[in-house]
Amino acid sequence: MPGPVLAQEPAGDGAQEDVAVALVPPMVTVLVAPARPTDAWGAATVELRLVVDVHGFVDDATVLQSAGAPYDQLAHDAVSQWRFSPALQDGLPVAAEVRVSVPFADLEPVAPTEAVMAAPPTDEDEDDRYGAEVTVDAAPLRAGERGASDTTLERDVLEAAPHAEGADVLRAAPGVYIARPEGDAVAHRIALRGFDADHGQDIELRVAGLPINLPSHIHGQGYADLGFLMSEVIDSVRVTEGVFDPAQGDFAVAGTIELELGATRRGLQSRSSYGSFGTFRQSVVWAPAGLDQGTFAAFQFRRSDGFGQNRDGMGGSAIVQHAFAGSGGWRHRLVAIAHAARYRLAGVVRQDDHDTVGFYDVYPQATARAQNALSARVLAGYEATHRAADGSTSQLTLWAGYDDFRLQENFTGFIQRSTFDPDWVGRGDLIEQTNETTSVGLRAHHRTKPYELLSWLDARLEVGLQTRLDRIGQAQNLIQAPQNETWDRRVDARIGAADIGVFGGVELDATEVLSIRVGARADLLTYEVDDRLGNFIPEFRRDSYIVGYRRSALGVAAGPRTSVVVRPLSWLSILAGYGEGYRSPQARTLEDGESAPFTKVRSADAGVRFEAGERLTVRATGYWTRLSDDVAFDPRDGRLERVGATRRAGGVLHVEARPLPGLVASGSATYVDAELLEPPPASAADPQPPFQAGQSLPYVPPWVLRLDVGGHRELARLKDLPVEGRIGVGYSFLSPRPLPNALFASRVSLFDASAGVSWGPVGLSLDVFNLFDQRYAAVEYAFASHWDPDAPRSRLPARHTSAGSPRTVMLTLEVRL
Amino acid sequence: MRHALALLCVLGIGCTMDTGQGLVEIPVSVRGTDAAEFAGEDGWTITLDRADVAFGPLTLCASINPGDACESARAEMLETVVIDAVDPLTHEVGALRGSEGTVRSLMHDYGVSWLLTQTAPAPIDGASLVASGHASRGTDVVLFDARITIAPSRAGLVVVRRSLADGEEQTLTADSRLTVVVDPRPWFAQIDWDEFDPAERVAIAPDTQAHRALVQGMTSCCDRPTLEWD
Repeated sequence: MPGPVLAQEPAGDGAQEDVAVALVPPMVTVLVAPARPTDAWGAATVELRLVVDVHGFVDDATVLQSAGAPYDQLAHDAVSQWRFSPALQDGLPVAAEVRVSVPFADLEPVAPTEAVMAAPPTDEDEDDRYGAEVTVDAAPLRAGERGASDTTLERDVLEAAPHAEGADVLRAAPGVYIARPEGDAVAHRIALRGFDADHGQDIELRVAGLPINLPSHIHGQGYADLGFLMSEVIDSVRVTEGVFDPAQGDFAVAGTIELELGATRRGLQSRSSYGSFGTFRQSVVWAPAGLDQGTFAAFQFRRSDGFGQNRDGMGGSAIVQHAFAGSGGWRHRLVAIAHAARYRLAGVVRQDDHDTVGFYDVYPQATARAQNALSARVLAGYEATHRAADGSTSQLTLWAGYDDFRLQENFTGFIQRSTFDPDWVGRGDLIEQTNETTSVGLRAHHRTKPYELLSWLDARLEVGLQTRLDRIGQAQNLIQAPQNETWDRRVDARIGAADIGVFGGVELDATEVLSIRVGARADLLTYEVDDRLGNFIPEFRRDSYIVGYRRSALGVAAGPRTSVVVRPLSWLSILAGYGEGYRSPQARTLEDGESAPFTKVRSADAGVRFEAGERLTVRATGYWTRLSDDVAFDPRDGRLERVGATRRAGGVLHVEARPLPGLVASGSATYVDAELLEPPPASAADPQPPFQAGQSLPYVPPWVLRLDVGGHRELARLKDLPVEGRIGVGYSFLSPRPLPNALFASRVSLFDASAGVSWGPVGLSLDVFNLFDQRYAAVEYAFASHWDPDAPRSRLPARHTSAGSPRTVMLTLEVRL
Repeated sequence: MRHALALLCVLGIGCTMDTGQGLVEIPVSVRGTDAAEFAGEDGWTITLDRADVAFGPLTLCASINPGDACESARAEMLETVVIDAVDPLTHEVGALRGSEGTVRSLMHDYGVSWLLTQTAPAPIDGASLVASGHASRGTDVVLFDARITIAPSRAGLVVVRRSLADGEEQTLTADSRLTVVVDPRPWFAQIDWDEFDPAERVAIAPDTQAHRALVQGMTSCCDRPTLEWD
């Protein structure tokens, strides 16, 4: 019996063609053939219109062309079980209508169990089998286009190049570079479009709708550890560069990165990897067939001896997500994430010690070898989405999280002096940082149906609320290895923080040619700080009070968010945007009653986007960003310090091409001229900080280049199963980064490559990272340190490197059941 | 222009973007004083045959206050050099390495440092001052030898820590030249030579008035080595 096929209907008039070009139609992932009527034997075809919701479920099925009651009912029963990958409009999942034909051949009846066809379509026959008539009948949850360089990276791009870990998929985004200079238990260091976001202070990160940034974290404002990510279940990455969307909140300085999770490959998938430096990784993904692709359970474990001394450790994470349809147009999603890791750190090595210590190794003293980090996090959320028949949408997300962090790290060697007893010196500057954050929050927004103001002008309203409460406990001490005796206490604080943000906007769509988004956002943030070491009493001063400084502060950050999209041609969009965002302060820096100062972000960009169907997309963007008060990492205390107002101006060119079936390429070049406008305020200790007005911003690479190329094709068939080959290449380039004190970091130029072959449910792949074994620094700093206890202490700032990984080879065995 | 330089940077030709201060390497010279014979207290005339002064490490700071406030140096010379304090000729002995910018304070040891990691100060070059000569008044002649060690009082501190007055602040550039000038005459002029028996050759010992006078002279506000900039 032939299986059901989708109708091959012409797209219609030109206007419909334009709509179709902007859409990625839904694709069938689970196909269920109809049973045969018991009392009907002739050939027949039933035509139906299906409403496929944003999760790929068939929300409604209507018979358009009947073949008689028995056929109609059986066809309806069959298509109601079909599953789709949802239609995408501008990268966002949208509900769509699909017109399908279900043929019943003139054959003998067969048992229903033999008629079930669950194989997903292949790319080769995609066009033939799924060129169905598709129309959108429901609005996306949020307006799609804002900034000119907004990008949604689909799975094929994300999977093109090899990735050592889940978060590495972010490298495919324009202007993004990600590294792990402090080991695998400390958050990545991320650069995005002219920003060295350190551990996340300039990038708002969300995974499955859950916020990842942690406010007022001891190791850096907005600390965001993506170590739990697994590339197997990253469905898409949406990068919003700039601040043009009213929904963008705290830390959206350079922009927002949202990762959606899902498992398109259903069933049980196991991947076992082993390779250089004793690295072993095991992942298991279970995605029950027949359920939404958003439903899966995944687990990973990784251990490694590390690529040099003092880099060993292990970690694991689990992600469970269940997406399902409710009644009355509701969709629900439950997600839970758990992660824990502990790795030792090699820390930094002075450049002039590379020959004696070793580029990849660690100083011999106990204070250096005691460097390590531990992180643990649990994050859970519930999301309910409602899509009404009139086109309005609503979404509510509730979430809660707990994060535990402990770090021992020594940047400076032996230069610290205890504040408790000035004679306590020379014990090693091993900084211990601990941070514990418990958070709850919610996010809700409603988008109205489109109101027709004029025959050519529609308007929608959007309102939203975003709030979170955080309870933070943090400490910073100096400890002496190996007994970990505390010899100075620098921070001991508890912080209560609340963020209540409201946003709203109007979306005006003048036909298909012009869209204008005008909105605003305001956040009210409160802080309550119990600084237990505040008002410190030095040794020489007589006590007249009890040490401590309790205080509270409140502040408001507000700003407009606007964007304009002009589509003069079906393949051409011109976008421009302006928005004002903010970054909240580290709570401990606030004084009592201070109107909490925020880093004000003014962001503008303009650009063009060319789209030739799915085969080619080109984005060219110019951007400008000004920050009222920027920060840069200060290794002396292992945390961020103010550097003053800054400006960034630059451009992004991003090309995404799918020239042949199975071949995808994505390349981007990002340039920034990042300038320090005003030097930081002088202090008694630092009357002339190492920054001058007009100088290039430290740590920001002027150029970031990235290329991802991947291809796969069927090579042969063996025992009726396809033998498929796959290759992939990734290339990252960072131009030399300016450092403080007139120094420059070296450039970074990295090739990664992979090749694999699969036969039916079994696959084998070889991934090589840093193919040409470039010796590079994951990050470089410039500061004064003293690592030779027997030599005179130099106070001159010197280059320090935290080594990046040398060539790493990983062999992976994949089994899919 | 900035953009063109950045383009050169990506092409690998070179990086000349403005990173604030430029790096400098400043020649350091030393000079003593023609101190063959000079007047002391109470009619004594002092003649120095030898006065070797250990000088360094030298740290120039951007901060107004030296010491722990000077976490990062503007420039420094880590080596200890021996200055012949009775040689009036200028000799180049080393270089300051650092970056351009204003110097507001300085600190230096006299060849004996106490590192944070040490339980006691360690002499780098034996002593801070090695001197010999004689003091005479009429027929009285006191032959003397001095071997003075001046160590920091606490680990991590530097012996001489000095904030520069407004007029003394110095802006380092690639063309700067530094000469360290030592004049030992005031140090010896403060010694009460009447305490010594002219018949014996005297070794100036710790805890004596003469020792204290020398230490006071070498570390006090007005008689320490001076920095001359060209």
